[in-house]
Amino acid sequence: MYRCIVTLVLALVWCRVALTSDNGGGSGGSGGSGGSGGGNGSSDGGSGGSGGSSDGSSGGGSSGGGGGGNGGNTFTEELLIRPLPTGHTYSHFEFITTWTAPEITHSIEHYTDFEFSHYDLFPRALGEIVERYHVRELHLSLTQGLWRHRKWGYPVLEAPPGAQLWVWFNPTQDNLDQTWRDLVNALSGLVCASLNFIDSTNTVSPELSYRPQGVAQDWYAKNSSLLRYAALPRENVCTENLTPWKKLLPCHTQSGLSTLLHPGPLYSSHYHSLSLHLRPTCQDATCVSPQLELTQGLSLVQATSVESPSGRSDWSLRRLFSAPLIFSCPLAATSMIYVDITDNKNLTHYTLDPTPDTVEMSGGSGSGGSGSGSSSATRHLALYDTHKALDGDPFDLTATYTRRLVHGLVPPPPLQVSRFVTGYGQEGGSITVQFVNTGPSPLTVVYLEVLPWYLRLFLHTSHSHHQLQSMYVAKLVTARDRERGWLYEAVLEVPGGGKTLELRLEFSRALLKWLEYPPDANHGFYIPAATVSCILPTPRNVSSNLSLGSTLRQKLQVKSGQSFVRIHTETLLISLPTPDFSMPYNVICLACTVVALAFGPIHNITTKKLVLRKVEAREPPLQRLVNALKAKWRALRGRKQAAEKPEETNSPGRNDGAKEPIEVEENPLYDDQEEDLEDITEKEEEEEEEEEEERRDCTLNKEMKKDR
Amino acid sequence: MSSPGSDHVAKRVELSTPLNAWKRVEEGVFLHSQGIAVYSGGVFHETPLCLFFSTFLIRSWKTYLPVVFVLCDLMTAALLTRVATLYSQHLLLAQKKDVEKYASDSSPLLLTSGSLRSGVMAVGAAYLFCPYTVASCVAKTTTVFANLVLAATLTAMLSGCPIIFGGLVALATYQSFYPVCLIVPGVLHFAQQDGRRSSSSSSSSSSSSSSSSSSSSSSSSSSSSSSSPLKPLVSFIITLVILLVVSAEIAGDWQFLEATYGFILSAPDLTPNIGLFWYFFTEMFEHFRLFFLATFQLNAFVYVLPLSVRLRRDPVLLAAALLAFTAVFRSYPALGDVGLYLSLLPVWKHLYPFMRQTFIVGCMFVATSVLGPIMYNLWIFNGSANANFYFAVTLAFNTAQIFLVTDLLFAHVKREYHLFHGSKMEVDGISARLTLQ
Repeated sequence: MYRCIVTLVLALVWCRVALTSDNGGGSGGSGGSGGSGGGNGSSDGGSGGSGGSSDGSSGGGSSGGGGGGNGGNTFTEELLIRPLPTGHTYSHFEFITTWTAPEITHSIEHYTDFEFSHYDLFPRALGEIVERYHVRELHLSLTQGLWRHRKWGYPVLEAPPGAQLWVWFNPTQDNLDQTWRDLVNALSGLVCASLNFIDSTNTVSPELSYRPQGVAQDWYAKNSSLLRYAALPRENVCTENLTPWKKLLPCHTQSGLSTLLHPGPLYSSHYHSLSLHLRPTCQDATCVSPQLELTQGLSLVQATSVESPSGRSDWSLRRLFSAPLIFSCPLAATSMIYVDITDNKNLTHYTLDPTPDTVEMSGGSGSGGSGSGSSSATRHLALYDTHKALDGDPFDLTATYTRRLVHGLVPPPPLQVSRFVTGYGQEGGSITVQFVNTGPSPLTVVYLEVLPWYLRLFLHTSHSHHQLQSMYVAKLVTARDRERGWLYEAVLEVPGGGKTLELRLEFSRALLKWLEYPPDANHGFYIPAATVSCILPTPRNVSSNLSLGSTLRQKLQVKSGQSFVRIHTETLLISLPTPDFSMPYNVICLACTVVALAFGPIHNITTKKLVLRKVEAREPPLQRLVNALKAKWRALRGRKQAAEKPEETNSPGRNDGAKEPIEVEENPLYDDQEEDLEDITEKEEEEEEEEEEERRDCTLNKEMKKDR
Repeated sequence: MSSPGSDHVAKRVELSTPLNAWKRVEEGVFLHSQGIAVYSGGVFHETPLCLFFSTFLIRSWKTYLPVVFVLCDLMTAALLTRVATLYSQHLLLAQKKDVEKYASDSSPLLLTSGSLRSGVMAVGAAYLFCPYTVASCVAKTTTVFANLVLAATLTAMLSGCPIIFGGLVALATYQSFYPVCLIVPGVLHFAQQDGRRSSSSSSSSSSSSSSSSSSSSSSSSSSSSSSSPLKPLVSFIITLVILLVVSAEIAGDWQFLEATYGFILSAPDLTPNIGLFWYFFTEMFEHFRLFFLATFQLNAFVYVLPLSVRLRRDPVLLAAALLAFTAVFRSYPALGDVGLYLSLLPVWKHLYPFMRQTFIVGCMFVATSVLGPIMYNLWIFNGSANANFYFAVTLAFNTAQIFLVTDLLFAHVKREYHLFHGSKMEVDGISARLTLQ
C-alpha cells in the first residue's frame, strides 16, 4: 500500500514532463486539467505522443521558420544576482542555446541519435560528442565549495561538490557501458576535467532520483538502464575547466555577459559551479514541438559584506567580476540581468543604480490557497536589458546598502539534509543522514547514496522491520570488490513540523592493496555527495521551477503548487586503514619464511628416518676456537712439510677422506628457538657456521691424523 | 552472552573473518528477505544452505540464538570426548596387537587406560574452556557449526561408519572447503580397519578349523574390504553433488560458487585476520599475485600426501595434523579453527615427554594472544602503530602453531622409534643422539 503511494508521488516528478508531451501529442486542450491524472495517464500519454509526432514536427518547422534568420538557433544570456541574507551575493549566469531544426525534432520524438547538419550557434565540439555517443540528455557539473541550503535556500541549478555527470542515452544496440566509457573520456578531453576516472566502480543507474529533465515519455523515463550517473567528489575546478567551457559559448569571451567571467574573482569565491546541461525541451508553453536546449550555467557565491571595509554588503558588477559590462553579445536574442529584490521590494535596504527598467513579479496571486505561504512565494525581479543599457558606455550595476549587514535568523528552507560520518577508529563506522522538515506536512523524499566498494555496508542494523514501516529501499545494488560500487536508493517519509529523521548506514572499511591507495593515502578517500529528491508542497525557497521553459526568466517564475527540488549533501572524507608502504619485500620474505618453517620440518619428517648417531663430545666454544687455530697452524706447517715431500700428497684416498659424509649433529628444529624470527635466522646461520667449523675441524683432524 | 560485550567480541578480527562473521550472515539474510541477489554482492560468502538455515534461525529463534550456539559448542565438546574415547581404545588395541614387536625396555612408554582416560576428559574440558573456542562462540561465528561438523566427522571415522563419514566430510567441505583433505585419513582408517578385520577373521577361521559360517563371514569381509575404502569416497562425492545441486536450487543459480569457494580461493578481501594471507597479498606485487595465490593455496594441501604416507598407521593423528595445517594456511583463518585442533591435543598426552618446545610454544601462544588485540587497537584505533605490528604478532602466532604441530609429529615419530628400538641412546657403548637421515 505504502509502496503504491510513494510511486504515485514520484510519478509526479515525471508528471510535469509527461504532461507536456501529452499536450504535444494530443489536441492540447485538456493539458491543464490533466495534471491530477498525469500519474496514471501514462499509457495513453505514450500513444498520444507517438500519434501526434507528425504534426508536432510540422509545427516545429513552421515556428523555426518564424524564429528568424539564424536557422532555428537562438542564444540567450542571462545573469541573476541575488543578495543572500548572510551577506553573500549569489550570481548565476545562464547561457542557453536552443536548436529547432526539423531533424532534431524528429530524433527527439523518435528517440534516435541526433544528426546535426549545420552548426550555427550550437558548439560543434559538444555536438559531435552528443551525436557519436547516442546522448539524449547530458548533465555535467564541476563545482568547488558547498552550497549551504540552510542559509542560502535552494539554488537555481543544484550541484554537488566535485564533478557530477549523468547522461540519458537513446535506446541503442551498442553496449551502453562501453559507450559510457568512451563518452566520459571524450568529455574529459572537452572540459579538461579528470572524468576519465569514472569507471564501473563509481557508475550507477539510479531508479528514481535522476529521471529525465527534458521531454520524455513514460516508458523512456522509467527505463533506468539507459541512465548512467557518476560523481567524482575529489575533482578540483579551476581555470583549465573554465576556458574550454567558455569556448562553447557563441560569443566566446569577446562580448556579452561572458566578458564578466574573469578567473580571479571566480576562483576566490566561496562557491563556484560550472555546468553544462543538454536536454530536449518544448519550443513554447503549449509544447507542440520539441527542441534541443543547451544550458551553460555558472554560479558564484561571494562574501561581499566581508570584503567591504564598511561592513555593508555593497556590490557592483565591477566589484563582483572586476570588470563592468562593455559589449553585449550581438548573437544573443536576449541578454538580461536580473536582480532578485524580493527582500527589498521598495528598494529600502539597498538602492540600485541605474534603477531598473521594469520590476517583474511572479507567484503571489497564483498560490492564493495556501495563505501565508503565498506572500513568501512571491518573487520580485528587477530587470535590465543589456542590449538597451549598453549604448556606448560601459554598464555597471551598483547596489548601495543603507545599513551595515545585521546577521539575523534566516528562515530555513522546508527540507534540509546533513550527512556525516560517525564512529571512531579505522575499522567501521556509519554514515548518518539527518533530514529536517520544517514544513507542516510530512514529506516523501528519495535518498540516493552512491558509495565505493571499499566501504562495506551493513543494512540490516538500520533497516529493522520496524524502521521499514516508514521507508522502503527502492533500489539496492550491492558492491563487488574492485568491480562495482554501492547504489542505495531509499524512499523515506520525513515527518513535518521541524522534526528530524535520521538514517544510519553502517559500514566497515576495507584494507586495500598497497597500489590501490592514492599517493597521499592517509589523507583519506572522498565519498560522493548523496542526492535527496523531494516534491515540496509549496514553492517557498525554491529558486527555479523545473519547467520546460527555455530562459532563466521563465525558470525563475514562481509557480504555485508542488515544486520539485533535488539537493545534494556534503561529501565525506573517510580514512581507510593503510598498510606500511615501505616494506613489501620484508612482508613477502617474512611470510614466506613462516611457510618455509612448516615445509622444512615436514619435509624432514616425511622423507628421512630416525637413526642413532654417536655424539662427539662437544667442547666449549673458546676451546674450539683455540683448537681450530691450532689445527690451522698445524695444517700450515703440515703443508710446508708436504711441500718438502710432494710425492706423498694428493693420493686419491685422501680426497675420499675429505669427502666423508657430513655428520649433522642435530636437527635445527630440536634446538630451542626464540620467538623472534630474526633470532631464528641468526641462530640457523650460527649453527651453519658451527657445522662448517666442525666440518673443518673434522677434515683437518683427519688430515692431521693422516699426516702423522 | 547477548550482553553488549558480545558485540565487542564479535567485532574482533581474530574471531570474525569475512567468511564466518555472524554480522555478514545477518546481512545476507536481510538482503535475501529484500529480494536482492545475495551472491552478486561482496558481503555474503556463506553457502546457500547456511543462508537457508540462518534465515530460519533469525526469523524464528532470534531470542534463543546464543543458546543455539552454546548448544552446538556443547555438542562439539561431547563429540570430541567421544572421539578421544574411541581413539584411546583404538590406541590400546593397536598397542596390544603390536606389543610383541616392541623393544624389551619400552614398558614405561606403553599406554595405560588410566593415563588415556585423563586425556579423554581433558579433550572435552579443553574444548569447553579454551578461550579461543569460548570467544568464537560468544562472537557467534559460523566456525561453531563448522567445528560441530568436523567433530562429528571424526566421530564417524572412529566409530566406523564410512558412509556417514563421507557425507560429513562432504558437508564440512561444502561449508569451508579446506576439510576436503580429511577424506584421506578417513580412507586410510577404513582401509586399515578392513585389513585388520579381514586378518582377524581369517586367523579366527584358521584357528576354528572350517565351519561354513566363518568361511562365509570371511568371504563377505574380504569382499567388503575391497569396496570399503571406496565407500567414504563414493558417499563423499554423492553428498557433495547433492549439496551443491540443492544449493543451486536454493540460490537460483550457480553464482554462489564464485561468491563462496571463489572467495575462499582468490582471497580478495584483505581485512586483517590471524592468517598469513591478508598482509602478504596487500603488499604483493601485482604481476606475482596469481602465482603466490596458487602457491599459498597449494601449500595448505601439499602436506596431505607426504604426511599420509608417514602417518598411515595413525590416521587420527594425520587428521589432526591436517586440521592444524589447514587452520594455519587457510585464507581466512579464525581462532575458532585453532581452538578445535588445540582441544584435541590432550589425546596425545603420551607424546608430551617427547616434545621439546612446549614451553616456548606455550609462551608464544600466550604472548601473541595478548599482544594481537593490543597491536590491532594501536594500529586501527589509536593510530600510534602501523600494520606491521599486528602482522608481526600474527606471524609469531602462526610460527607457534607450526612449531606445535611439527613438534607433535616429531614426538610421534620418536616415540615410535623408541617403542620398536628401545630407549637406550647408545651405539657401541658410546652415547648417541637421534637424528634424521
